[in-house]
Amino acid sequence: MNELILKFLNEESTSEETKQVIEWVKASPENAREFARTSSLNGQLRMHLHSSRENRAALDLEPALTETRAEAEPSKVIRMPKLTFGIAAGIAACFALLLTLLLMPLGKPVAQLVQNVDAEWIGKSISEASLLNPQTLKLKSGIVSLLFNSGVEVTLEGPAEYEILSVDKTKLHSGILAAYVPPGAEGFVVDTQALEVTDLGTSFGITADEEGVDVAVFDGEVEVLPANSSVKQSLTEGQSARLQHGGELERVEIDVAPFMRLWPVATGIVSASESFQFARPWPPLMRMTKDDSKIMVYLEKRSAPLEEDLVVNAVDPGRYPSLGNNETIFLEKGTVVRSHLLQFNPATNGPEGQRLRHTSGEIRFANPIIALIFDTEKLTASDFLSKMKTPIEPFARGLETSPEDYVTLSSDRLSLVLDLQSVAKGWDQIRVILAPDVAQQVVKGE
Amino acid sequence: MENAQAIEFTRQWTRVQSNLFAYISSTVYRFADAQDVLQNTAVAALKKFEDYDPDRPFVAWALGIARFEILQYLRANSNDRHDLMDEEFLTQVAGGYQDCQREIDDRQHSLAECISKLQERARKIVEYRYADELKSGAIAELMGLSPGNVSVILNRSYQALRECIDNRLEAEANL
Repeated sequence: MNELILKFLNEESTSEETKQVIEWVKASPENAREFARTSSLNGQLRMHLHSSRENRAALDLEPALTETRAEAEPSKVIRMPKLTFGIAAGIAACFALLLTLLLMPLGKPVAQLVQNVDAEWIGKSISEASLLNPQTLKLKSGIVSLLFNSGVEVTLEGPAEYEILSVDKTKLHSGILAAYVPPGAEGFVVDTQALEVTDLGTSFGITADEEGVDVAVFDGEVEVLPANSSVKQSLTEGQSARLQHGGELERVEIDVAPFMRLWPVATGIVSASESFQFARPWPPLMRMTKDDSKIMVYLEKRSAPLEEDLVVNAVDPGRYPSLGNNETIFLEKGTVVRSHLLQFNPATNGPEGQRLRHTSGEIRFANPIIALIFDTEKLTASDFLSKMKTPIEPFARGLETSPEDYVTLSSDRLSLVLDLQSVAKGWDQIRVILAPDVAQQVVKGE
Repeated sequence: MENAQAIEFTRQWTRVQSNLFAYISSTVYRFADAQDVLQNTAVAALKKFEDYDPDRPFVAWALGIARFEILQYLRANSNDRHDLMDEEFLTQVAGGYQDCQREIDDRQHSLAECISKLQERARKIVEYRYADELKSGAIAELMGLSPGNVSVILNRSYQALRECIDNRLEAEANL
């Protein structure tokens, strides 16, 4: 019987043999015990050999999901309490942490599902905050974002089939993908049926369907190795290549249109009302879009330590600009931040341009907002966060109290409600500083 | 969940986790799927832990939750093979696991050393089977053997491992 049980356990038994094993087990508790003895050794072998293989593959892993930063100098700073979040988020974090601990001996999860926008799955569904071991994700529709332990961010738009092989190797069988690879995680590979893309520190997109594969580089550089060749080719920012099945790799003009739907999610936006418009993945903030009703959203920094102290306008939930608080608030040098610039810049010129334009809307981020910058002086002083070259230096770019502009930071620190008014020559800008993780601390100076 | 309860859960869970995984993987073949089912079991058990009656063995309670999660998986991934595995079968297997828990735990400690005692070729084949989840046909191709040959080597390796583990347990018992 043992041989038959082994065939059963390894999915090699015929239908008849499978029935035979099942009936035999049901026949007596002693048979069930013997089945348990045999199958447990089988299961232990699986677990042991899988874990040792995964642990070997993960030796170079940094636990980037829980980055901590060095303690700051104690002088002249008043520490504020750690950010507090909703109870639900806290419970979710507890579960995630506990599960990480519980599942440790089985091999480390290599990524986490961090955002789920209307995702429908083929087969088992995966919920937000799930830890992911190597496996194939089959997304029927919707958009999801994954954060790998190395810090690599991958956003997928369904229908898509995406295979996670390890922390640094994945395969896109079909669908649309955008990846961001932070410094230190270079070498992240996205393989496809037609070609393999190795990242050299960058942001890029891939579309894969039955006709072939397109690769577009938004920032940095990637190496492309066609499946039918041993010659690697390098693609840099703004370049794109296509390989149709059975054809040769050809350079094509970059087309970011396929990535426009997933791009907001890829940059950490959960939702936004219609008044918001998202900058394209490429070219990078080349010109300042003008629009009478839209608020443009530009991604500035993905995740980088501040090279100098950053003076900000607000760190607490509430409505701004507010009167009466003149203390200097700053984020310490070394704080790891993500930043977005929101901008309302009406288009109409001429006498009509003097008329006030009004817009409003709400935008929700995946990461907590730790600070807002909205006065001209502080915006200019924090421009080092942006690659953007402002073509004309506006006389005023911040929020004014006349005409009245308002921004409200929600108590969970994830949403901003904007109510902005401007004339054609004026700009309303808000720099939104976000935490890359929940362990960030906000520091208030004297 | 209070801290003390979370600690108690972790303590209990850690003790039975590998047993649960073995139970799950006796019916869920793919490793990644078995891990998912284990994870779902952990989440469900954690959520229901307040209802757990400490006078009952934790392993029996957790096996019951795992049985439910396996059934969900088998139904969601229905095929001829999965359809044959009904609740009665899973309940009977869970009973076997509960009865043999101690024995199964003891065996696990000797596993690594016994694997290292397998001959090179047998170890390679065992790795292909259990770490890479390859079928006998695929292993045969990689090793330049016939599929029948691979099955024989796998069966013998399995028996050798079981004997090695039994001998070690016996030796420890006689100490």
